Amino acid sequence: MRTRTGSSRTALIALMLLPSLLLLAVFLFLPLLRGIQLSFYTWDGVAPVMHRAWLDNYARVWSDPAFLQALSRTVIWWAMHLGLAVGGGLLLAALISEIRWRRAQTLFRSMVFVPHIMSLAVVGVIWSQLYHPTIGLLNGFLGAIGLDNLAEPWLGSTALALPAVGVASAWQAYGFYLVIFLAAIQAVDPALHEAAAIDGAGPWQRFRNITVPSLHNAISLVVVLAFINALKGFGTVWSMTEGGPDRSTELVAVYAYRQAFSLGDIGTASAAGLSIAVIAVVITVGFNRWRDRAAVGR
Amino acid sequence: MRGRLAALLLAATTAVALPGCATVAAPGTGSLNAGGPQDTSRSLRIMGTDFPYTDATVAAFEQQHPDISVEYVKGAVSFEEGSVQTLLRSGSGPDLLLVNSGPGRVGVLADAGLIWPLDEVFATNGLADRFDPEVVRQTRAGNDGKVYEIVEGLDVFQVYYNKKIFAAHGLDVPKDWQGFLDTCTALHEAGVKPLLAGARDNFAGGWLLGSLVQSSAGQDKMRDILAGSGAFDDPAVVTGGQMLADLIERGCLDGGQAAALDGGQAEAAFWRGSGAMIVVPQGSMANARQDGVDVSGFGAFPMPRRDASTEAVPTAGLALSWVVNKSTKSRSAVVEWLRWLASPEYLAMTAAKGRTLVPAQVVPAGLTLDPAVQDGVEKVAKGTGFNPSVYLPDAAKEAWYQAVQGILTRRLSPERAMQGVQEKLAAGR
Repeated sequence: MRTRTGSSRTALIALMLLPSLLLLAVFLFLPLLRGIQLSFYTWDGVAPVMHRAWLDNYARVWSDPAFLQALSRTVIWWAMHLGLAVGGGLLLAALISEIRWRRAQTLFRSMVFVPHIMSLAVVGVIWSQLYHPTIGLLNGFLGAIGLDNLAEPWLGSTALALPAVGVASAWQAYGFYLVIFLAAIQAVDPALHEAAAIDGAGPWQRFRNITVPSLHNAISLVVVLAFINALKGFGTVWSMTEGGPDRSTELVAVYAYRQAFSLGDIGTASAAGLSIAVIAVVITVGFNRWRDRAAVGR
Repeated sequence: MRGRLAALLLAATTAVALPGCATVAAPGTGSLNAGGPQDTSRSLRIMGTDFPYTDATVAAFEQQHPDISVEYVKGAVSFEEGSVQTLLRSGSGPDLLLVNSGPGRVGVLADAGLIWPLDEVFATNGLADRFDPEVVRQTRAGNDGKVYEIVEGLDVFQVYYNKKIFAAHGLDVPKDWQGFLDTCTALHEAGVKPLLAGARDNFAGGWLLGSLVQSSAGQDKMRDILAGSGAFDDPAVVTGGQMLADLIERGCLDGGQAAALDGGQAEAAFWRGSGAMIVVPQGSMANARQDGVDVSGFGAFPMPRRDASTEAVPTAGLALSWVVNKSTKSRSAVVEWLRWLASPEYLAMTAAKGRTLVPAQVVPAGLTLDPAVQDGVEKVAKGTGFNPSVYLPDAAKEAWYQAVQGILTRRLSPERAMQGVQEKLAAGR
């Protein structure tokens, strides 16, 4: 009797999981397997046949200076994302959590989340206009306060374009991280802050010694999410610069797209995409293991 | 358990990734109709640009052919973004697509057997007589030399200039390259932006550099190079790149700003009067007129030749073309649509309702076109050069765009930029 109940329970679980598994299979696992397959073949995306290339595509990608430059830019991009979106989100979450009037707190929380629900294309258009060299708000503002000499063609400079797009991307993303941080901050026992305040700790000391350590798990989660989001950085870059000028904002995702569709080289595009996916998995697993060990050590 | 899962994943991946044969069918091949178009349907699905005349031409076609229903899906389909290939490879894509023209795009689709050769349709319906023979010659895009596209229109690229700004500074249309430089310098010294460009989305940067390269090398040499009997690192072509670098060096063109703006932003700035000159096709002026801009204060001239003794001609290129999905099940309906595209009625209707492309058809006397488009027709009749972006294969085209951005941002010397194009061109061939 118990066995029959156990079987029907298993069947029920399987039945309930089936729709999700089917969706995952169709939209994740099969494309992933196809991507792996394509990375071992030479194909221009239109020819009726593909030729086996073994590991040639991987060798070509990893010996291509453009890919290596894209990879280094992706690391810079991730660092910017971490500093601006995650750091900014944490700072703002701490500030918003200090607001005692609940409605105001909700209002601020909603306001900062708005950019995150915008499509990346819209974000790209908004920030392209802000950075417009002649009619953009940024250069206009600099001119209005007498700093014309600081006005730049932000998206036209090979030195400034990546940071400029990074700021736009961080603006789009920080609201999401902020909500995670805010939820974690609100779970911190207020008595800790009160006790520290009685002992004479100022706001900065309380933030550094109570809030940040209490957010260990949230920070770990957000760092991993930020890492994965940064690796996927494509939408904002493509809508604002298409990887230019002169490839100065070409991240790995943009490199893969260009290889696939501008150059008709699906094999190397797949190899580049899978390479970055493997890097992401390795780093994420490594980071999680380090975090778990650190947690045990505490 | 974890090890078993990993082994299973590895086995599945290997099974999918590396079947026995060195050559395998590409994804989607099974859904394609290898036998060519069938004729079992009288409905047409068309995907293409939303022109001001689209609705009218579709309605007129349906009125002439009550037994054919047309669904026109409006929206640009792009080879560079992969949508054309995906639609055709799906096996259930539209019957007809309006795509960017040229061997680097249509030729690739033709060689892959995804689109239908139209020579027989041309021959049996007398369509060849309706089109400019030079245009038909250029549409033999595939390796087999057959016609695979019906060209909707051409672009003719010239230097458009603001007459009021020129008059205010006592300037005339320059007759040679030195005159062009002098004009730019005078405008720059007067605090006017001499030349605008928007290279962020590549196309417009290619128009500018293409005009300069032709100014230096001439259309005959460029025709030879694009046809495969010359090299992009030819000194005359490199000089064209150097001319772009010189414009930046003299303050005639703000390279950083050109790299920051896209083509549309630069055009908008020009028609607002924010700069004195820009290299654009006729459609820019025609569109500006349709948008209510008073274009009477603007004019156009071909980029002056570097060699003052030779006459300047504009660059030009096929713009958009109709291609037929080889998997269509509406063959006779498709042929009717192609006959309609080639008809004088279609041309007249598009001219009356806002055509901005230079027609590929033979233009009958008395047809009223937008003045900018009419100017393009006349320039084509006298002879034009080539916009390299249209005629370069994809990898070389990408290198060409890199050359533009590299020179604009001063990260590439003209020599290195053109060598990059030549390397990709040679590898592609």
